[in-house]
Amino acid sequence: MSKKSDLASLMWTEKYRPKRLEDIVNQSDIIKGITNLVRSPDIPHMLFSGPAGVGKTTAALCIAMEILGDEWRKNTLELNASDERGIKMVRERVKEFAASVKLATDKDFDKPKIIILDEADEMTSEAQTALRRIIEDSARTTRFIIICNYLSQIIEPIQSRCVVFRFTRLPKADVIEHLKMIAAKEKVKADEKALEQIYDSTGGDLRHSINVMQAAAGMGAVNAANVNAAIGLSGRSKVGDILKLALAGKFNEARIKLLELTQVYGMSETDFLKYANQEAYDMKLENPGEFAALMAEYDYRLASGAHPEIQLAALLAQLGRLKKN
Amino acid sequence: MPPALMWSEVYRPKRVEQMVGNEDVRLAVLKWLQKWVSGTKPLLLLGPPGVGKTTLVHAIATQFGFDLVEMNASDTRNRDSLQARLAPVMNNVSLFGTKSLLFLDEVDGISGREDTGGLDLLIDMMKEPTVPVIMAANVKSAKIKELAKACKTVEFAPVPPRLLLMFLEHVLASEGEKLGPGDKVALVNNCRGDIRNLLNSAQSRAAGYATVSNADVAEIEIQDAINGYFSATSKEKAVQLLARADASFPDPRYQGMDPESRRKDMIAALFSTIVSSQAGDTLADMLDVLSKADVVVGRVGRRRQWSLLRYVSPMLAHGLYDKSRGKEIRYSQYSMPWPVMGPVFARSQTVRKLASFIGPATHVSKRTCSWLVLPYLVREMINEKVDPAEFALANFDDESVGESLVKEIERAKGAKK
Repeated sequence: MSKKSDLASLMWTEKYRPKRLEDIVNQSDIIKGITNLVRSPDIPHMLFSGPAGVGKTTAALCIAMEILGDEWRKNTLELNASDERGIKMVRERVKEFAASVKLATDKDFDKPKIIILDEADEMTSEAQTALRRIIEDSARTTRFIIICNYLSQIIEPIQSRCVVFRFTRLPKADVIEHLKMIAAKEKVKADEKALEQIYDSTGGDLRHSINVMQAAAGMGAVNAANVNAAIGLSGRSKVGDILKLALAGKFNEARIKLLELTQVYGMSETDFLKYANQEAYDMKLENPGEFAALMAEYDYRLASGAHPEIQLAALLAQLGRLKKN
Repeated sequence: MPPALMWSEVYRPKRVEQMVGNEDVRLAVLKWLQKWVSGTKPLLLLGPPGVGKTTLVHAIATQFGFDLVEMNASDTRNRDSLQARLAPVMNNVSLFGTKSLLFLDEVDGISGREDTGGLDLLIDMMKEPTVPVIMAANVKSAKIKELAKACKTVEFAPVPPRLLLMFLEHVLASEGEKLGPGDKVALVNNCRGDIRNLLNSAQSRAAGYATVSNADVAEIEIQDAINGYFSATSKEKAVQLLARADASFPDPRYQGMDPESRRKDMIAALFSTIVSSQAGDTLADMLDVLSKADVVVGRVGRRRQWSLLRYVSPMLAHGLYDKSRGKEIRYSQYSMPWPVMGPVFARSQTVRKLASFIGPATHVSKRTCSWLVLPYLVREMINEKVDPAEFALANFDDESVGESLVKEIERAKGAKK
């Protein structure tokens, strides 16, 4: 097998994913806190909140490796709530894993099992309620690391059972320094301006930043033009296209692209609104106030309505009208 | 003038022997009650709407002096609320010194998602009931299969036309109303054995709400109703057509949607119809009407506030009327023509499959994988000339992943050119 056939060495995000807590970029206060807890005799459940690409999942994986050693995979269950939301997932997978018993002869007999539950804010509150019971019932053998973007979407009883760590957006200097480190190891040239451009367009999401840099490098060099093209590869770049089409009154074209975004790229309708708002900010609209009011109205309708597709289509039609006024 | 009472309520039988049809079933239920001792299996009444399941239980309770404790789909029936409501009854605490009879209506409407743990608790409690328990459902759906195992089941049949006609004659005579013989036969045939439906239709007919033709009482295919609505020359007629469509207002977030229920989803059908037509300048207005009606449907779904449903049809019928005149709007089942939709759909299958392998391997959700990881991975495979088949086997031990990767790689190469 050639080395490039291995996913973990092909993608720089995996190749340079930290394996030890102290290697995680920035977040030093949090890491100090976590390290102390992990080395204490009684490890608590933990809850990580914060934006995408700042090291939450990586920190959780590092904890599993730290506690469980080489055989961490065997006793770690990684779940992503956005893949399997609802009660069934919690009941069946978590319960089964938490309930399986280790033999006294196993060398890791005295070590806990770890469940990493990513994107937990995607779970319905009913599923979270069920999870709460499972956390309690399995506390003797299992530790949970629950990860979310928005702490407010996690029900109180779960928050109160965990030690909460709030991860923050990574500062520009840290991301750029990390990108430079990777560029040096991979022997690619990256100019400072292009790296800044990467940071600005990914909003400090390190995963996305590394992907963009790698794609740009593959086009020859990490420069402004290639970074632009590399950013265009992600599904997120389609949001701006859709917004522009809708504002120009090209309803049908916008709708086809939106369908592609939600169906092929799997972007949720809520995420679409979030990114559309950011894109609009960069586009410097003539009437940002009206735009914001419209977005707020449809954000509400999307959350309360029964058919997300209809709500977003109605929004696209309204955007076409915004321009004409 | 006081509002007219609904015939279906006025003529709801108060005693078991006054009921129409399903005699053997009524007898079986009475026998079950006679022989009831603590621990007897609960009774599950299965049958289509309007055949008298609820009426029978109410009549029994009144006739035999039971204190009826009733829960139906409008109550939230999650574990906690069921427990709170049922525990006192099951513990045989008599409320007013009388015996209790527990009636759980519409058990097939207990939602796995909203009513967390409700079914499990029910199954548990029904093992050793300390009071007589009767449940009712329309069909023995997969959801309530387990529950049905713990019960004695009796099945109601639709009431036969002969009995329906007799009952209708009785009601008409009592009300001093007259209908033509053709009308009466049409009403009976159209109600499909549902007495409540029969009386409601007969009452609206007698009150002159409907015009004379037989077709008016029947529900209209959604396609014809929508086409009729958009081409109707009077608002009255248009509103009526939409109201009579064989359609519903489901919330796809909370109920399983088979192709048939998707087709009968009125808001979705109006949406696909409107976006497929050349609506031009009023498109945004019409979609706004749909959007607002959809919010109401969403509230019904989330809060089970069924009563809100009555506003949806008028919101749509009146809201869309002026905006849709002279637009040549024709029914369309799909919101996007197949030549556009097909490739998107096919690609979504490919990407979903890839994401289900690559997502876990890169510690992200399938969603994030689809828009943030996969596009870059594909680009890297092209750059490094990685063989998709070898890559698939090495990382996932699955050949079909390689085939999907080839498709995405070819596509990316095409897009680059």
